Amino acid sequence: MRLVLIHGRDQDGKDEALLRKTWTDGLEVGLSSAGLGAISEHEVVFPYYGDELAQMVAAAKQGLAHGTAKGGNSGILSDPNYMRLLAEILEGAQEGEISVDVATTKGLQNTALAIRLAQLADKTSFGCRILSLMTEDVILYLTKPGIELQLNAKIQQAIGTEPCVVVAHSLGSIIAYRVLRQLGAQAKVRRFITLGSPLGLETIRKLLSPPAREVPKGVASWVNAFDRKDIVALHPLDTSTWDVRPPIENHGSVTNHMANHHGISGYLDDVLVAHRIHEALNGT
Amino acid sequence: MKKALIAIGVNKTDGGFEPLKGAIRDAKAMYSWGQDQGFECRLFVDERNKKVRAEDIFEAVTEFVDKGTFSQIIVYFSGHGVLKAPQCELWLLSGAPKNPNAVINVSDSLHNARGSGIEHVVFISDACRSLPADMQQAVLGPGQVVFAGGRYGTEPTELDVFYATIPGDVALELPAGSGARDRGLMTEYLLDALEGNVPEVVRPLQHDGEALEVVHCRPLKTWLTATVKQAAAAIALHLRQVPEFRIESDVPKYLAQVVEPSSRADSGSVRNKPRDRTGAATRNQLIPSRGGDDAALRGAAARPQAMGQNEDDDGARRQVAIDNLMSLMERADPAGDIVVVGNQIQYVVSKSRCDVTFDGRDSRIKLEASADSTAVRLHDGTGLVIGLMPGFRSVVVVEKGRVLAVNYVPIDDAAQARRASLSQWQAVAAIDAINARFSLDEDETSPLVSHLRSLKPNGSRTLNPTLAVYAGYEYARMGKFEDVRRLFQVSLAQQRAIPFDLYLQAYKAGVRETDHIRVAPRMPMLTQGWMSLGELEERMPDLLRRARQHMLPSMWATFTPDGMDHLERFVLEN
Repeated sequence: MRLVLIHGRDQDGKDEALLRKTWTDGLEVGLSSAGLGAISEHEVVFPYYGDELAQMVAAAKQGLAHGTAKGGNSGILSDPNYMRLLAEILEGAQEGEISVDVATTKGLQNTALAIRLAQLADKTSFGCRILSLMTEDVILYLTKPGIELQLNAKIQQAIGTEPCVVVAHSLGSIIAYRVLRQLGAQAKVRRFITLGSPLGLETIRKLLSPPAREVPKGVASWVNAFDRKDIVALHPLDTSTWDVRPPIENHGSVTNHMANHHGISGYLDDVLVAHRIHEALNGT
Repeated sequence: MKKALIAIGVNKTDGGFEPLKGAIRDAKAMYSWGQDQGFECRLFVDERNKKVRAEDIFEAVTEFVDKGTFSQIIVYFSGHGVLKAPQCELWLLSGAPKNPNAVINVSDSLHNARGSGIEHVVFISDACRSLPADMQQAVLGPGQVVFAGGRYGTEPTELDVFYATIPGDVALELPAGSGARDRGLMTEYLLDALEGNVPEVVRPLQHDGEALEVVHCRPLKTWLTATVKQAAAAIALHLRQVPEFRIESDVPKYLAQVVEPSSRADSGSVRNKPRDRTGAATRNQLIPSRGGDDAALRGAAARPQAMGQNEDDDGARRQVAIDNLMSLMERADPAGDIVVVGNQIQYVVSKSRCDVTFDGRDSRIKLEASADSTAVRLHDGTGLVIGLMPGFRSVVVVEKGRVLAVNYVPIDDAAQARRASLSQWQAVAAIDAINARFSLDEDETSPLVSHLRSLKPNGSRTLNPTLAVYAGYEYARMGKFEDVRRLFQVSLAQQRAIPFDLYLQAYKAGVRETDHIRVAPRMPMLTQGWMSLGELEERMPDLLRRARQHMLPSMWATFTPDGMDHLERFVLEN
């Protein structure tokens, strides 16, 4: 069985082989903790797009900055989707287990957001700048067809039409979902596993429509795992956010030991995540 | 794929309209059909003293939209309707017209549905589209939308609209026959087709590897147009109902999946199966209308222009109307800043001093200084506000006391050479817009479509303000927001003032660089603009809000004497 691993953002400049090893090592730890065998008998496919994404995002941001009006915000910062997504993450973080002071802020919305971002950065290990950049990348992928087309082509080739299990992290889960929708019944995915996925965020959900959201036709089952302290994966993919049939299995008890509660290793070495991957690979 | 249906049926309004007998049952029949099809359905009917309220419908639609998991939403309405002006469609709910806000603004709802992120939205209106018959109907407000505003998705929604009748005409309700219910004529045949009883509209479709038989919107349009028309005529020779459809969706999108009768769930439908499709003989009694007055039923429907009988008649009447308008426009005295053709105006209110003369047929207004907005009182005390565009003369054409068109004619000599084609385009646009037939579809190979397409902000071709107004609305209706924004940029680059109507459409299309822009006049010139201000509604000055309660049924916003009092004050104070 093929195991397709799809990474998230911020992987540019990294050695593809090393990155792949980070993923497989993390999974081996999880499998071992679960008392399950290794995955060596299975073919691992790791489509690396880190450098391409970084280049396209840089080019897009440069283009946007050139086209911006005088004064105030510039480039992606003036995209209402970016503001919406960032605000949603901040609000969600506040309502959740991450405490952020609700200070009364003055001036432009950006300033208010910047202050709250800084507060969030103080309270969590998820840096303010990282959060901004993550938000930018996601919005650019979802709103700039050129970026989407190029990345989708790469991921589509990796998933293909042969039976496989797809594990996707963070932005990778959005890309994988879009590709699986495009492939429709041609894909033969025994299980789609999303880790630390922002697919539950309202802004992301709205940017994904149309088409109406559904479990991709070629996906037999979908498992979504998240750490409740992961501010990227604030909401489960349940009936309140993804009212689809068959329902998505949510696993919200992951304790991601990475500093920002979002890193891939902290998801893959989770016992239940490893177990779900293992049973899908082995058809058990 | 999940699909949703909102079925609305309102038998009784609050005054002014004959109570209907079949609207509730129509809505229930659609609801029942939707359930058979596996739609998630909501029903809003005014039975057992329950009122149908716009807020409830809005919430139901919003719930479906926000889920993001519905690929199609159908909004069905059966009840009384009014066409306040071309492209100003209203559905009357419980409480209207006594409560002028108890109406659904269909045109604005369609506009908002475009950005809903739903792949396919279908509006079905089994209601009249006649013009307001009295002042109570005329003062109906802009109403409420059923789709929220805002645009998130990058792909626009495909919109299909089924109107039971053409603009200005009535929709008919059939009385109960032997064992049958009271029902709307169009709904009767629509359901027949949706249930798979009409082989002409059923098509095979391969969907996700499954062989289906479905009803697409385009064949349904062809069949219903012919069938409803024939059915109305079969009832009585003087009766006429010609449905109108605006279909954008194409294969693989479809409206109904044909289910074999044996496999249909017994949903307790209120309909009689099988339906009597040939029973003209049972339908010879009729007929209360769904919004029009009795005159309309006697064959004198209050249409803006008498169109819709047949294609030959349509073409001939259209050409006569265009020629008539052109001849009226051409007699405009070139010496005035504003020329009112065919009316002796009472007076003008403007911030500029002005000189008014009348030559026995037409009035001429000469302004001493530039003024964005000029209020013009016509002979009978009604009136309108004209925006002055630097470099253009305003020509207001009045016929039989009604404003037929407002045109902007270039003043400079170089532009005079192009005046013939411009007059032709303006006349065509005016007549087609009055009849809700104005189209800028890419398939149309008209010189006007090519001209508008060729306009660029730094190009040499000039955008005429009249055409900018018509085109702005039409591009918006078609969901071509890029073209709205392009026209706005062209206007911004070329002209010292932008028609408010184009500004409005550009604003609704997301343009926000609107500081320091000079608009003229400082209000919409078309009634549909007054009825669909969107986010700008909140900024509407109180005087204009009051004036809006005194609008006459007209494409170009025209006001009663009371309405003009408010507008004249606004012109002087702003």
